[in-house]
Amino acid sequence: MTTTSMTPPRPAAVGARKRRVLASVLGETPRERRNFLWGLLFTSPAIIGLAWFTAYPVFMSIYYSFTSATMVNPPDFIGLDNYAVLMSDSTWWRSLANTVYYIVVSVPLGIAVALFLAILLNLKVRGQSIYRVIFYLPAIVPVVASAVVWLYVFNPQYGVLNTVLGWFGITGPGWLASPDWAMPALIIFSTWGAGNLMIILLAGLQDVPQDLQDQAMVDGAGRFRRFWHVTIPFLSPHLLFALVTGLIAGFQFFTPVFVLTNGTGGPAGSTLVSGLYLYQNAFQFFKVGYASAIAWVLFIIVALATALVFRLVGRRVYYGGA
Amino acid sequence: MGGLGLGVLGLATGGCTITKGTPPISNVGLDKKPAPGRKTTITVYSVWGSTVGEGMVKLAQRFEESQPDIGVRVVYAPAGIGGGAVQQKLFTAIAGNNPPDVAQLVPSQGPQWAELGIMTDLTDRYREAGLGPDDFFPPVWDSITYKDRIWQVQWDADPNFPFFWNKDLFEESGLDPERPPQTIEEVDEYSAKILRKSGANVTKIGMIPWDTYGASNSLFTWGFAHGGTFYDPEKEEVTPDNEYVVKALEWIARYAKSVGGADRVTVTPPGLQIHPFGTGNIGMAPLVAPNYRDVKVNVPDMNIGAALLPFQAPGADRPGAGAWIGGWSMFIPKGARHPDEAWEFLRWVGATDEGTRAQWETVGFPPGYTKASVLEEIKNDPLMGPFYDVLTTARNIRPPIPVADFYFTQLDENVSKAVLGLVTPLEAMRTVKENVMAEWDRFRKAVKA
Repeated sequence: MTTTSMTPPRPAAVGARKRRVLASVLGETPRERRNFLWGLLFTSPAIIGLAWFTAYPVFMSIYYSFTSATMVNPPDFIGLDNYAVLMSDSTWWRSLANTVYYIVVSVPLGIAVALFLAILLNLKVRGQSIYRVIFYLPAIVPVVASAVVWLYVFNPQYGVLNTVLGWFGITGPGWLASPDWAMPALIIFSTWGAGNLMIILLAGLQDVPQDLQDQAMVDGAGRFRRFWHVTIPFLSPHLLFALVTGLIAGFQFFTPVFVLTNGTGGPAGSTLVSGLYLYQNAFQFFKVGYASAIAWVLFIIVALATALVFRLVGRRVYYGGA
Repeated sequence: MGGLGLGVLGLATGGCTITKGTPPISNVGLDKKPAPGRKTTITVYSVWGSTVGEGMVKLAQRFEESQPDIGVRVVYAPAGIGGGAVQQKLFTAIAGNNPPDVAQLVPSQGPQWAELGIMTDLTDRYREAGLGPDDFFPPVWDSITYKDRIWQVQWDADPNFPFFWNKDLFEESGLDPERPPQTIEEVDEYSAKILRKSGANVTKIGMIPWDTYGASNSLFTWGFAHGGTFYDPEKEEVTPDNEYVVKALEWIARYAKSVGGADRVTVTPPGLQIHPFGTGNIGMAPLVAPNYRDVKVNVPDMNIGAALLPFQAPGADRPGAGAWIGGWSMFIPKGARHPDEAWEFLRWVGATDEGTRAQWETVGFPPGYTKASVLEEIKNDPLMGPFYDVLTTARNIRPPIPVADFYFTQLDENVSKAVLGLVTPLEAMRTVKENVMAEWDRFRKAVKA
């Protein structure tokens, strides 16, 4: 094998390449270039807004995570200290465990409930659209409003949940007042808002080709087999979407726990999830640097979890033979 | 606790709000433009909605009427969780180097905010105005000073708490309706007679000692009532593991266990807007003034007695030993454009006869200024009388340390754990001490104190 020395490209070639790249972005003709600039001008409010209010804070939070920023003082660079402290912070680990608990139960449960509702609403029955509206309604009620309503539902003595359990001879738990039952209560509350996912899955169900269903039926496949071998493969991209977005939303879980526990993560820290711990550090304890470190560690965890899901499940997803 | 939470949601923070009389229906907003034609205009942030926010606007108007030079712009800048610890608008304004001339804070946050460098030192201004320790109730003076300097004007001295009892429920339970408990032992004795249950759930209870405006405030109140202390200013150390504090927590946990568990207390219907004491299902309760007022207005037939808090020897030696002063202060943020005029406003509101009276008539909080003539009216006010007694006898404040809010949060969590029987009271308090001291060290390093 012979080795050849790298010869630098000639200046003229570099210039030509640059021009080609530029032309592919800006356009070949003066008219195309003008259109590009006008396009840029019209989209600039969005671009500037995104850069200033999203990109800039995101990059600043990376920087702050390496500082002792307090929000009101100039930050001091402290290297990896925040990350080191985080690794030995028992409250952080507990908040992460609470978050994982929430995700592991609420995401599959949410998908199962949404799928079940979507299948029901896909049945050709009279008043179908009315049912659809009814089941979708909880999703459009603001979270804070429905959280307040659920405070009533979860009331141990007067709440509807324990009253119904009482009919079956079951003494209901203290729900939000009990450290063992507060998180299940939050999970039940989250499942209440499954309407958005239900709509997506309902759309997916309507995309399942009827002729395939018919063929399967002719071949003697029963209801369950048709569901498993025809419906589920066609729904699988939607289910993957539900899983990934559910995972991300789960790690960002904040509003219901903030409202239902008055920002404490109680009782006894049983519902202190990572998002709430981040908020407490940033805004209650003036530890913006530390909170930024929490945010980035959470981001890495979400990225890894998403990658894992794609690796494990992604290959099984059926994109209609494409 | 969850069931009780809703009714006291806004007040479970210790920075309790007090208004007198029935809330008036008015069209006064929460913001206010300055009076025209003044030499200088100051900006005052107000954290309150509702009648207190309107009161702050009216108070600013009264200040403008009292002198010709300074106009006041009131800007509504609400506080979030943490009883006033989280004030996003204020922090954003300070971080953006555009602070108001006057801002509000819960006095116990003073040390942290002073260390963070966002407060103006008022020591010289106090001296020039001839104001000293004699001009304020002792707990108020303790609240406004930190490291021998003065940082705030505490214009609301919130007396936490008088002790109220339901005479009707006492009678129904075979107790003398005219004789409140003097000691914690008597509280236990009376409670045993009042307790009623429906299956596992408690439907009538003597007292809910773990829900005296949140878990941390409960421990402050009953810890002081046992003679406990929560920090050692000499050693700069928190002392939640103080013998009497632990005893208080043991008592609270024992009480919860004796009724079948804190999570089984469901004496309050959901959505109740008044304090649960108003349901008639609770025998005894420490109350802040707005809650007491609401109960009196909405349940006029209920016979209520008022006294000082019960105490427990040998740590404490008198009724009312558990009382502490909370409330609100104003301060001048560092970098304020008009500190001189801001000080004029602060002083007028919190340390003049005219201003404290105007404050009482508009906002309706008891002043911390001992020379306020309006105190005489508060003393004779049928509703505020019990609160006057606490104001003039209370000796405690919540620990004024640079990580006060972290301390309170730790207490909230660990007191709950002990009350729910997940850890022993001593373990819980040792955890609090360890975490708070670690945080205090970190904070010292962060601000290089």
